[in-house]
Amino acid sequence: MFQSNNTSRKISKSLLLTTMMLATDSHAFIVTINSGPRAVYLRVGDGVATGTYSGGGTVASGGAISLVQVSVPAAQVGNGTVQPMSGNGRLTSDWDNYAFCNAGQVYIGGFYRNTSGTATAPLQVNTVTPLNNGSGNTIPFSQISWTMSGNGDTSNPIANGSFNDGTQTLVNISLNQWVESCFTFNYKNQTTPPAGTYTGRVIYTLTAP
Amino acid sequence: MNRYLAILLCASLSQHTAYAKTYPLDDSQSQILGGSVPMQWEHFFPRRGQPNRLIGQFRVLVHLNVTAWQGHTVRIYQKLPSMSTGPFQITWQSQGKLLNGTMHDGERVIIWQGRIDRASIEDTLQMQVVADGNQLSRAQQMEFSYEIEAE
Repeated sequence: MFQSNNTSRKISKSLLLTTMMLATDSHAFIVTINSGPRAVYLRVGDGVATGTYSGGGTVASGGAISLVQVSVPAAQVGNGTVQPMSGNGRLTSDWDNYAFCNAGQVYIGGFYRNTSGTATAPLQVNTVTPLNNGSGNTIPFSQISWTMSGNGDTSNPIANGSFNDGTQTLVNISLNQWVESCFTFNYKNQTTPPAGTYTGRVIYTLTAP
Repeated sequence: MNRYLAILLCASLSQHTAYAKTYPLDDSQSQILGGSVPMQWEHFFPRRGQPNRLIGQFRVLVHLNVTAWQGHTVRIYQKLPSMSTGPFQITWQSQGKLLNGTMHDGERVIIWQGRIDRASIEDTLQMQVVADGNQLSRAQQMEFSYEIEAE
């Protein structure tokens, strides 16, 4: 009698579970997540930052255009003696407000964010239009060279070089990598233009592929 | 007749054992609040040595049909299959009926435990997804499901 009752309970339980399985309508809620947004950021000179990144700040478009200049003594014009140039603009990194560049240097920093592949973002500079004095006289940008450094850096992401009077690539920024350094410009002083003030604009472009 | 019943019983118990007491749970009335989930970079600036993680959030109204389990003490699990573009970490906060928790793809975790005294369990979960920015190159679908087992 006891066995019979026990068997009866087992039957009931088994049937109940079988019924549950049949009655259960399996389902899954599905959520679609998008891939991350592409982002590209480039700062040359000042830039605009609200706070520091490490302090929860962010950056924006804008900022003054840096001015890099040199006055060559009349007696030395064209003699090939390199003339150090002096730039202006903010010298601190937006990461932590660290004084990354020194007075006279021009800061450059940028990154490229994406979620796919091994593509890189080229950082290019255009100097097609030469410096001019407004009277038809020019000095090619190839008369200006630079060296790169950054306080505390052991290597520089951008090589030393000179403008080429065209469009040249300074560095290909790897995916999700931060690049920053400081330019120190020099005037080669290898031409003999008429006296005057020569101005021109260098345009840096970082392109996300 | 008794012999036939015994055979049927054995068959039923074998089936029970094969499913290890865990059963899929009907959540067909669950509802994602909002559309696809936009993912944002955890850090605006990339930095060497730091992970490039993406973060997204969404809400889901979870509706679990537990009618057949009323009167039983059970555990309910939330499950997410392993995904080739993982790892994904999911963290959620409930409104109090379901448990808060964290899980990764390929795992299941307890989200409710106790005696069922109603036909359904409903709660709104605020969920956060963390993904590897180097892996998530396209939109992905995450299929959450629920399992129940008797204690």
